[in-house]
Amino acid sequence: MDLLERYLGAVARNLPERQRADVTAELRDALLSEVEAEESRLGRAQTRDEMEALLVRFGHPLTVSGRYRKTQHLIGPEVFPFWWAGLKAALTIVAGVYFVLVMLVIFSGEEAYAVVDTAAPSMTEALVVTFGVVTLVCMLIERFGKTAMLARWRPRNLPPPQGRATSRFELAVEIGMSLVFLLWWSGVVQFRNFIPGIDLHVSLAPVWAAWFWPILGYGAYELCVNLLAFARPGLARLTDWLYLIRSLSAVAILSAVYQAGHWLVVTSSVLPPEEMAKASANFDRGMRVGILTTILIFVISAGVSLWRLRRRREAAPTLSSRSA
Amino acid sequence: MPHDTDPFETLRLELRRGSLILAVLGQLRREHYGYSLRIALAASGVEIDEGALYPMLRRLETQGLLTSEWREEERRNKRFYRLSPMGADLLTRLIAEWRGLNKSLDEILDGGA
Repeated sequence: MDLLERYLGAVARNLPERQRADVTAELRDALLSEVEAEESRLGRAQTRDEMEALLVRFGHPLTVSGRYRKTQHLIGPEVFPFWWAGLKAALTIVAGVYFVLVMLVIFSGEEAYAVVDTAAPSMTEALVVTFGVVTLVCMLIERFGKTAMLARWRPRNLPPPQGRATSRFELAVEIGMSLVFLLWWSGVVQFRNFIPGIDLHVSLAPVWAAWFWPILGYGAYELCVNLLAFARPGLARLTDWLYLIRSLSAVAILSAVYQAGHWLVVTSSVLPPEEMAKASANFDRGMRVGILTTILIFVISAGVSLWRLRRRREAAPTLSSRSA
Repeated sequence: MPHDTDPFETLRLELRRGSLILAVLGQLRREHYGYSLRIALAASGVEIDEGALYPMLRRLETQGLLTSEWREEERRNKRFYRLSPMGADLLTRLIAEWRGLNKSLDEILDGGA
């Protein structure tokens, strides 16, 4: 009977306190009834091995005690698909942000590495925390029986079938880029503006300061639109309109900045004035090409948004046209 | 990748799982303690794990479908279970559901033969 008491003790340890004595008494009776029945069939007392086999058949102490608990799983089959989709989306955003940070480190060198290293946790940490947070949220939804809230949906919010939707990773990278841009533009992080080989310091010309708030507003707007496109792919028509506004705003701001004709201030402690003037002209020439190219890209992007909007309007079948 | 578990065994267990509660409720129209209930179910061809039966009885009692009392029998204290009035009402509805489902399944399965 030593094995029986050990078994019941192991089961009892994992039972809820107020059920413990009652459940253990019932299980003791059940097991003793089994033993008596078996002994009467054999016509002798059970051996230790036979007793062990009976307890193994009854179930692992954790399995048996676990069946008495109200909560049988952390995330059940109803919440699981939402946990999986949420996890994929959250991890994609984290991967997108880190992709942008890695690109910055590669292209901006040690200063960017120092900023990223102090400001951002390691990617492994971020991924583990994201996994934990998404799992915890779903666990609480399961625990407090709010599964119906997840299943509430409207077919009209599903993404439209026609056309290639922007990939989730592409959007996550854009979100990461917007975040980094906003941090840089608002002065939270700074990147290298010194070119060591030719001893040049490059900084933004006053025209950019004059356009500080519109550009900050543009960055915040772009971030919000990308987040909306990521979270609600069903609102494709709305996001196309918002992207159109984004592109036109960028064209307007860049066209105004372009009028200045001078966009970068170049200084050096070693170069003679005529060399400095030449270097400054070269940088401004590069910026002119850069600004014009960016304006062209945004014009094309606005055209694409318009084309998509038109195509969606033409492709949207009405119930009457389908039945006709 | 092949799966280790026999698909027939998995589906058979799934099929039986839903009907076990119906069998337990049906058997408890008469009073039983855990062990006698298990033996009665086995005699009718319904095998159930001991480790699953007792927590199930406790759950059904918490839901108000069973009543129970401790009583001495054969020199030992035993917990006796019986269907409560609420459980009896629910069992009637479940039996109607079961028979309806059975009839539909018979039609489908016989029609396909």
